[in-house]
Amino acid sequence: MEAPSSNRLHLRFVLVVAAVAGMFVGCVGTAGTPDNRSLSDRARGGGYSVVSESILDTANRYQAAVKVVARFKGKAGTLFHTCSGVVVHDRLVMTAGHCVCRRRKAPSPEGEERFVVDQSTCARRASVQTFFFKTLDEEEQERITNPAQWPTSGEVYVGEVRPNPQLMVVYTSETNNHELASNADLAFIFLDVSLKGKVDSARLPREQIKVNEPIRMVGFGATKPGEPPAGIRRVGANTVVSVEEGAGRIFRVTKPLLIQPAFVQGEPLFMREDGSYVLAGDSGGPSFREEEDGTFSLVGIAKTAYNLPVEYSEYTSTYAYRDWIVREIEGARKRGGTD
Amino acid sequence: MGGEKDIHNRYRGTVSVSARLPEEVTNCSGAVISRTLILTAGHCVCPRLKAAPPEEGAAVMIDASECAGRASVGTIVYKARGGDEDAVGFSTQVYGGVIRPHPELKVLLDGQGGVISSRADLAVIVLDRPLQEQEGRSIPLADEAVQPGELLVIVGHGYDEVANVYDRERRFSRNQVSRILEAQEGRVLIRQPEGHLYRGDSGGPCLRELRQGPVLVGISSRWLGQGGSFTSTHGYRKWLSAELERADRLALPQ
Repeated sequence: MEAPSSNRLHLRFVLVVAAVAGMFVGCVGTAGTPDNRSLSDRARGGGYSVVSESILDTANRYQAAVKVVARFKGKAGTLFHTCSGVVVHDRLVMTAGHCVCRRRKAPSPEGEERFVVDQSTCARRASVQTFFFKTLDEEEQERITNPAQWPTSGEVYVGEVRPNPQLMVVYTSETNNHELASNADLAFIFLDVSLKGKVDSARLPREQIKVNEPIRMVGFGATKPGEPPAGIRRVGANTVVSVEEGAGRIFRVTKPLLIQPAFVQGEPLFMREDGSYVLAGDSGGPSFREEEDGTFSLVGIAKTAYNLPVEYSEYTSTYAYRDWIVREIEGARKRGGTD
Repeated sequence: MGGEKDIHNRYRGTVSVSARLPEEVTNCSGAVISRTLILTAGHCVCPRLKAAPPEEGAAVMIDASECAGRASVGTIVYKARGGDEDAVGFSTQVYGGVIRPHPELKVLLDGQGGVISSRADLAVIVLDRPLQEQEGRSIPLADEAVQPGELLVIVGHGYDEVANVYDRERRFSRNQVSRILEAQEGRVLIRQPEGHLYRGDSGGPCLRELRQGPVLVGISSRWLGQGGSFTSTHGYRKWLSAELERADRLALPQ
């Protein structure tokens, strides 16, 4: 999760270089974002260097957000998908369908190359990691050179993958995340045992998300574009700019682009208010609405993100799939009980 | 196969190490050699200096002159739960300490970041308070120097190419010594039988597996240049014993 360094209005420069449409920054496996930098550059950058500590969820306010890992056995060995997810019941974690199901080749009727994610390609099982930051006094906080070293604890659970029956995402390539179509990009993981100790489950919203609503986005992803997922829970904020007409299955978040009259070296210069976006490893993670009583409700599950030339992130609206979600939670209650 | 997660805590003598250098915050590993002393790579805690002496065509030099003063050291303990290999708990902790680079540290790199020469790429971190017993077991130093063809285990916290994550999990991989560069003061080249899949372990221990447990033969320097390499600790035993004695003295209650 990439997030603003402060809550103040802060303008960031976005230099639009070329129309690189729909560059992938969502959930990744080994065949994820192309990264041409040398490994040493990647390693030295670390992904943690300039991020302010305030955006780590050290108060564990968003403890319902968990890390999700799916493993796929393939010809080239084991492929991992590292994503985020959210606890909605003590045996049920929701994530994105494409986090726990892989792409398969499925040419279009016209014979064009297409890759599809649907129910037929899901991992049978996936693992879920709960994550708690330990409380530190100021002196202890001083000692931390690297926010990634903040003391934490957690548990890893495994469970059965239960994709939405309508899951269908169509891509043009095996690695690029430019989507041609997407429907019901959601899945549950039904845990073998109940979560140990108390993890506050996320609540469902009473109404659909609306344009201009502010949301909190939570994930275990990278802190900068092009970095691998950092595996530590971060919180960011952004605003809903559009909701799919009709069914309202998908909404988009971004900050408006302001066009500056100034030009730099012949290129037009764009400015944008700071906001958080979905990066590698944030897919499947929750976005929350703050309700009037100060509680949070789960409005979306991170689906994908696009950057240049138009930077925005897409979430699947949980409200649009509430019947299925409620049925799954009821089912977990019946099967669950106590372990 | 890449790095395997150390969920049975076999290699809990390995910690994460991070130092704030002028241009970066490093993500490295380190080896616990006593409850208050961590051994890591010099290049993990000392910056790359542009003003290299015009010798051997070097563009960048790392030496002991401008190292960071302090480093933070992270531990992770896994707790297996039931029969499932994946079902584990974890708990991490962080410590602080003072950096003491090897006085003869000198690494020369060419314009492309390739290693021209490397000497004493080592540093110790003297912890402010001792590690808890379960957090870090001291790794004994090996009695015998590393041999060509020898199989070693390298442990580290860092980037895993197979899982494509940059988290703090402790992972290990098996490696084979391919060449010992005697002239370069203990620099040893290694290869990973399955290819270079796990390279986020600079500063982490290179271990020889003995019946009584792992012993330390070197400190990884895989971030430097192309291909894997490490610094054999055998030639630096005198310095290490002096640092161990010093740390023990400091750790004594007043």
